Amino acid sequence: MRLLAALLLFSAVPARAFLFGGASDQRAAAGLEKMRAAFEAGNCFSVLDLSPAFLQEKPPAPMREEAYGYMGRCYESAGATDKAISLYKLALGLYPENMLFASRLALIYNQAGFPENAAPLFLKVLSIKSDDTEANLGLARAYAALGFLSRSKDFYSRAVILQDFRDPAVLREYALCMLRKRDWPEALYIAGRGAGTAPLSPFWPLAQARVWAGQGNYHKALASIEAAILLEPSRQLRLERALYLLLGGLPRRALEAADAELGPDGKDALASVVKGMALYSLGKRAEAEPYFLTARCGGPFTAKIAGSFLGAAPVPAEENCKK
Amino acid sequence: MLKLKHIFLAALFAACPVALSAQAADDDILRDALWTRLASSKPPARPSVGLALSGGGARGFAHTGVLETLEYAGFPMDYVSGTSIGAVIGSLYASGSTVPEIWNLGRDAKELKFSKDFKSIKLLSLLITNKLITPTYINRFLETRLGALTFENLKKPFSCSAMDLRTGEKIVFTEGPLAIAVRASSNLPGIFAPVQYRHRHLVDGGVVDFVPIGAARQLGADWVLASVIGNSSSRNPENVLMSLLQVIDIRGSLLSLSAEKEAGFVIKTDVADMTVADFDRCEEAGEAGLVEANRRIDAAREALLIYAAPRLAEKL
Repeated sequence: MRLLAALLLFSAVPARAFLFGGASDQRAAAGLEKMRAAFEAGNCFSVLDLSPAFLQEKPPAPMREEAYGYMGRCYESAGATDKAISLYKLALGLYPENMLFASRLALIYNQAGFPENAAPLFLKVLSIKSDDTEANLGLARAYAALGFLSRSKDFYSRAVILQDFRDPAVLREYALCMLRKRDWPEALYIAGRGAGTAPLSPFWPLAQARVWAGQGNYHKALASIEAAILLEPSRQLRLERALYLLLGGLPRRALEAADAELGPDGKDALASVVKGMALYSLGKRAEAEPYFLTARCGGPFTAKIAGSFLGAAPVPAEENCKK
Repeated sequence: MLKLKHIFLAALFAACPVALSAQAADDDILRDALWTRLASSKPPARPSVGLALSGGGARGFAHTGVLETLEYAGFPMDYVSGTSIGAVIGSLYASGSTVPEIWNLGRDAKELKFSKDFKSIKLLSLLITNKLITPTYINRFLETRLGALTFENLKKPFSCSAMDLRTGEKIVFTEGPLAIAVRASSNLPGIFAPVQYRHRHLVDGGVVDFVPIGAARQLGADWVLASVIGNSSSRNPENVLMSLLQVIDIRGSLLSLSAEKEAGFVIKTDVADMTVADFDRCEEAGEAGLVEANRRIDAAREALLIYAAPRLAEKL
């Protein structure tokens, strides 16, 4: 009787259950389904809560691969970057062809300031899918951070083409990279495209001004920076204009521009160093000295530049600097 | 009272980053604007700038990456001096080779068989024949690339340093045929036969002038940027030859410590896991140089601007 009962019981279970662990697979499939639903509902807490039970079922590789994807992104959104990195590294070892793991890990490395680790992963993603915008952009950023500006240009240009020049933030990054590379034609071209995308941003005429200044053409630089000031009349843009006036051989106009900033704030270090240099270039060294002394209260570089004009003049007492 | 102190501290911490970032932004504006003037001027409107390239064997290919970063920044390089591998790269650069062309040399180093000159060194045969060997492939390369050139017809003034093996003197070449001077400057002592030139027996200048900052000044540079290769002493030498190379390398690094004090700025690339004879890994060294130079380039620009600002303002 007992034997019969056992036979009846076994007959209810499919043969693959004994051979391939089917019951466990079914539980894993159900668990994965719940994780998927929770992920799609944006409930990362549930995704991570469900994951131990799911993994305990020793699910088959494709299920595990999918679950790692949900878990990784949930760790990321929870700010558990170290756990996300560990998981993606493990997952990438198990599923080397999975682009999601390589791509997510590369993005994290880039954000965390490890572009040297990010670059090979982005290259891997691009070897599988060369038109992946995020990977092109990520690789461009990694190369720019490392200093490989020519390589960076290749990938920024692909990314902006893939985006059809529609993202002004990316165009801005690209323009800054080209200014660093002193690639004037490309910087000018991107600034033009950016101005078409976000015409009210002062960044594009500013980038154009820097292109002209970079080539020593301060006349054109002034015209461009004045266009930027019309869009955003900020102190820093006005003082950059004052510097171009000075460097372009117009020290008296630079003096006026610096004075306009020193009126409301007599301790403005940048305005002071501009005024000091303008007076110095006019041969009025004694008149320049108090402005250089004021500028020594500015940022480290401004202070050192001012110091280079003062020679061995004493550093001003801390309490005399505006905070 | 305690509460007030907490409020004060909180306000201070909240205000400081804003003030600091505003100062940093002002610094960036000033640096970048002044740099436009410096980079587009020529002496005497600005101080003249020299570039001194140290020795370092195959690791010295890092200079190529440094050169690339300096070019991106528009860093003026009016004079170039080099020792050993620095003489090879410096002479190519001064002769008008572009940085991508010098990178190609690094990529081609395998085919050019530079490593073979080192691999062909059999200590036993050196002892038996009691005869120093000739670096065939290196010499062939230098003759091909520099054979037709003299110091006088280079695009930039250039000098390279060697040592007279008989007197221990530092010999700085600034005139005459280029290839033989560069060959002398990069001629490994004790293994390669001394280069006989102008009644002297010349070997690698790295033993006496690892970072030729003084040589750049002698050419006329007011301010010198030195690209220096860190030594590879962290690695255990695998054989007698490597021990000898490492000793020379360490000696060079010690010399560089005092020489660096004379430089306006030093970019020091650490390529510690490479040996001086790893010519098959030149590209890696170049990349390390580029990354390090990129990390330091703003500081280098600032150092030169601080030195140059009064002259720039005076000549506006």
